[in-house]
Amino acid sequence: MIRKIIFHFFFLVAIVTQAQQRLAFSFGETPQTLMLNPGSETNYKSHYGIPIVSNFQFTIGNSGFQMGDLFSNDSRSFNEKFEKVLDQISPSDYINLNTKIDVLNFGYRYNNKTYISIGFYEEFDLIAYFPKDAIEGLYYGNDPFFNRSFSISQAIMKVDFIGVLHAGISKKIDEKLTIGARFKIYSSSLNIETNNNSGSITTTTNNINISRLTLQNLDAGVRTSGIDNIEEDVLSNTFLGGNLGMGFDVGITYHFSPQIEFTGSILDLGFIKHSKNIRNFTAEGDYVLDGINFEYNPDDPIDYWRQLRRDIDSSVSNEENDDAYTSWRPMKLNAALKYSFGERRNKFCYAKTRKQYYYNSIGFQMHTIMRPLKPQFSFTSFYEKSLSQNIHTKFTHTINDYSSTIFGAGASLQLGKLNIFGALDNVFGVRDLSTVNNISLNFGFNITID
Amino acid sequence: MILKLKLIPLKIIICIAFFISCTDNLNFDNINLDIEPEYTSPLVFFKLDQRDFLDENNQEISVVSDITDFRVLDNTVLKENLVELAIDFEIENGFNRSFLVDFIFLDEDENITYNVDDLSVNAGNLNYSSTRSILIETTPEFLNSTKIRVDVFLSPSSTILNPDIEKTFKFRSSGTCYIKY
Repeated sequence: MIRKIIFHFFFLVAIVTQAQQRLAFSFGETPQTLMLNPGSETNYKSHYGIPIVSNFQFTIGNSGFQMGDLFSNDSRSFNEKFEKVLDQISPSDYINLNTKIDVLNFGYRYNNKTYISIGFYEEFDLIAYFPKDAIEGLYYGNDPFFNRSFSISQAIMKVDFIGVLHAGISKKIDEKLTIGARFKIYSSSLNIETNNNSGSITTTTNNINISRLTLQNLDAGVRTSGIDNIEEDVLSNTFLGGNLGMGFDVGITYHFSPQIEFTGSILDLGFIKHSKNIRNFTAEGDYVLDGINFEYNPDDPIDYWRQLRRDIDSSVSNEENDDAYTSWRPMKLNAALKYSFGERRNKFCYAKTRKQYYYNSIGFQMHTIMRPLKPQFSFTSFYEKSLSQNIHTKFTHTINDYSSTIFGAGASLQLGKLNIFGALDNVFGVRDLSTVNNISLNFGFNITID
Repeated sequence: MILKLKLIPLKIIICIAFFISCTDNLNFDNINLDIEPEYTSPLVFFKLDQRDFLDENNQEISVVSDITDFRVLDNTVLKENLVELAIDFEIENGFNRSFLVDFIFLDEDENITYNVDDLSVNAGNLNYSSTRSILIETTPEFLNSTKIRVDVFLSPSSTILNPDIEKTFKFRSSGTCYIKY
């Protein structure tokens, strides 16, 4: 029972959340920043993430339409709204759900220049492109679309549910340069992926019969691991019980001057080898269906239906196998350039050291995540304002696949040893949900010790 | 001043809660989606010539028949949601004789579940076309269909068939399923 409750909790969380990292990247020297850039500067002696809530991210979004397009409170029927949305989406639009929940996260300063952090997090990641042809085919049928090819290649999807055990090191080389790396062991509990499919289905007229169905160049497949006994094992397999893989994060912080800082990172450069609990499905071939050709030969009656099925089976193969396969993690690239200015203050850091910082910063960030169809880019400009030594704020404007008017706000608050981080992206979108296709909330509670 | 600053995160949270409450212009109650696709598929086609209506003694055969299994309705999704089947027929009659065609659906025991009868094609009519609809609501027994038989009747005439002359009777058919989920 408890296992079921936990499963459904995580499943629900996974369904409605997506990682949102724009605001946390290179901000406030919080423990969360280390997960986005292992080369980020740390100015505390140690940190202890509060289990489950040390870093929690919430986003829902898609690039194809806004909430109001489907759910606006007006006199139009739901079918009218759905058809309009269906008309406006393209096969490159997608829905993307991702969440990371830190189960354990803590770090310790080994010496003045070295900070070590380790932990374990759960990640759910789903990207599904809208297979517009398939949706229209299912919704309208093929009758209204004679001579139109319905493409099978639009079927692109990747789902992962994994646990990640990680250990990272951040090394301060000198006053200007800090580098870092993180080693990760992935344990995949669930993987479903389909990509690089080809083929089309077309309905045409011809001289043999009134209509003809043509299946051309079909070459499609779905690779899965962990779909059997999903309810029983999906959570436990993330604790090193699933298909294992490995990967790295690397990062850097570099000060061109006391006021100009560059930060960059590459995350999840890694793979998972799927060899357990595999079920793969493939289909390939060509077939032209003109119907059943009656021969009116009473001396030699033909079992037309069996003949038809035999022809289809010999022309289009459907197979299931348990072949092992490798799944690449969606690599992320982050980079930020920050210019600090205004009032300058000293800050007490670990071991009674001090660090100078400015009350204001402006800059640009770029985030890229590698996806099956194409990379997703996100460009952000930001303004950071420190209200005191313990209160830092950040305001962003982001352009990405979802929108060109995403405004975000974040705050980091140090209450004694407790660090609270919170961020909300698409602030104005939250005000009017009908115009939204992307909202994200990110917060975390950590104990930091100077 | 310090107190005011410390209250900022609290104000932000209040603002968030305020913003999130603004969902009046959305309606999640009316989300009934009626899916009514129309699927077209070729059915039966054939070509007959004068020899097909003559026996080994060159005597006319008044009717020829052929039959096939038709297992499309074994698909329970289709069977449970089919509203109507519309069948298009196109016939080219190159004979100088008239024909009647019956397009018959049968169940497993070859009882008639639906008979698209009286497709009457005049002599020399090369552009016969007709569309017949089967409404499931009025003929639910159609859903038991597992076979299709097509009977072609050669109408009596004083004109005699001549197998040495090339004349053809071409029959084509296509069905459109109207489905409602």
